[in-house]
Amino acid sequence: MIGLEHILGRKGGPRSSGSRPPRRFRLSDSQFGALVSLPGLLLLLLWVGVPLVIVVVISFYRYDFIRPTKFYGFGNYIKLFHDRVFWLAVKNTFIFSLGSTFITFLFGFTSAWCLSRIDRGGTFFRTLMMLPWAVPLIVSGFIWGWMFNPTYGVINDILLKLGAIKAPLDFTADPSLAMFSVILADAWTRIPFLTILVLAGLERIPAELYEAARIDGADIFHELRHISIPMVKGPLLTGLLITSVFSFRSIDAIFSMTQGGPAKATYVLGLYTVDNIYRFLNFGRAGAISVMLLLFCSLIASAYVYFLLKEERWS
Amino acid sequence: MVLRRWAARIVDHKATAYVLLCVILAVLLFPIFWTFITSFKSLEETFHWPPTYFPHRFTFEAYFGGRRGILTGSPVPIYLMNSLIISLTTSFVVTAAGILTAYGLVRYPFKGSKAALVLFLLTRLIPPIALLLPFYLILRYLGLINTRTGVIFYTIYLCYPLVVWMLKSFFEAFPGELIDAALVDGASRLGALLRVVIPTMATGISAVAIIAFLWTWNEFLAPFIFINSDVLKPITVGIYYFVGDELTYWNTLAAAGVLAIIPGIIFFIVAQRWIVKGLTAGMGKM
Repeated sequence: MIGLEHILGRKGGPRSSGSRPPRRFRLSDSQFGALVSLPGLLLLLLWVGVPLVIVVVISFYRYDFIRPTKFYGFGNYIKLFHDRVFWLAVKNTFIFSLGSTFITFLFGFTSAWCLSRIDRGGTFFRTLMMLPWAVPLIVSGFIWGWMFNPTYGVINDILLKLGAIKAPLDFTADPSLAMFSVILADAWTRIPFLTILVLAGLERIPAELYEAARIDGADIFHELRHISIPMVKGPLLTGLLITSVFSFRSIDAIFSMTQGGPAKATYVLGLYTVDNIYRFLNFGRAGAISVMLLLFCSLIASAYVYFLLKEERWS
Repeated sequence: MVLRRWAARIVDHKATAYVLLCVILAVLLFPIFWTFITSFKSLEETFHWPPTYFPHRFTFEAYFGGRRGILTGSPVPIYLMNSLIISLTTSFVVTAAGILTAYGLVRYPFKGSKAALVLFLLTRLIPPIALLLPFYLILRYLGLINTRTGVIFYTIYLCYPLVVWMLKSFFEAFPGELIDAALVDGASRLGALLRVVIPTMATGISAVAIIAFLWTWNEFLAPFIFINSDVLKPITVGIYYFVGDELTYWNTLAAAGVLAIIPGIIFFIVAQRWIVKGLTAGMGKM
């Protein structure tokens, strides 16, 4: 059948050359690809590249709204490295990020493993499992803050009823308990993501592998160690990387729960950045902290890429 | 050895997975349950010790209680509207732009298109909080501080790389023969995208749009720093000012929390399968 376009000569057929000039500038496929994706690439470059350059440049300026703004060299960084609060924030950030990643891993992996082993109600369980992901972190901070409340909190009541404690604990006043509380509030919203990532990996493992292992006399622990965990290493590492990088810079839960207290026990780098922008108006220092945050996150990311590449070489 | 065999048999048992799941779910869902329960209590009952696990007096006063109800006596409806405007706009812009970008990069590769894709992935690892300061300065320069447009400007940056990366996996899995068939039938390359690719991938694309929507909806820090006027605040920022110095109205705070998490819960219940697919497609093999 001859299409309408053919008759009109859109395809540059011989009959149309009289009425319409032949199309000379038909883009090649790769030109078309470049043209279509160019706006998006420009968007990325503008939206990410420009701010990146600005933040690095600012970190070399003294920019504090008190004294005139001027080039400062490494001044901001040198001051930062002599700053006790900065190092405290670095330490807290690592504890917070590691703690959050660990709890996320513990719950996420266990849930994924269970979900991969059940035959019925998979959709039901998986949907319920996802719900914490829908909760904004700032709200999660409030919810957990309310549950951890020393006078009216439900967690104290549960622990008392279980006989785990004798008197109500003041979670947000004790430094180490406060850190534990904010870690819980942060990890809670990250568990679903790791669960579905690992679950997708587990479901890709062919059942024959397990059957073969069973014939060779393997029990469930052998299977976990020699089949399940090695086979989901890729998604698992990916999930752990994303969890650790995300929790490294996440402050919402801390913001609504402890504001960095008590006595700066939960004060993290992100909070220090925001304080320098919002409260102290020291933009130069905020820039320097931001650049340090960037460096730390790249460090975590490169460690992960290294492990992943090593894995690939082996297999 | 005997101990291990027993342990293996217990762990291996089918029921173990169900029992473990129920325990984990009880822990995971308790905070959400508690927020709902608290929002249906009266203020006096929230300060009751020991706490009541089901409201003695089931009441909607936190929602509709006149001056003290969040829907009748507070700016929460305005906050929700702002959240909706910001999230919908971001989601739409990012998805539309992302579709074009991913289509070009995946279907019609050119020199450097592989590198461009990796670039999208790498930008996801940049902590957004590190770019808060430059974005603040840019928005101030453009006169967009204290506007919803300014926040949208930032949330586009937040979602765009992830959206392109997720769509990329969808496009890679898309059968190329369908596009070729459309081209043979005389469709242009853009026409093939509009008439073949997008309709076929509608569910996947909506999942990506939902993820972008939720990610924007949950954002707190950027609107907190960029917006001052009460009438422009999204719900995440508005809720932050509910905590009082002397007395916190926990029932109304919980009610505001319920409203803030409802869109996410609805989306997950309706489109769980597709959201999961979108997320795992984008990240399973990063």
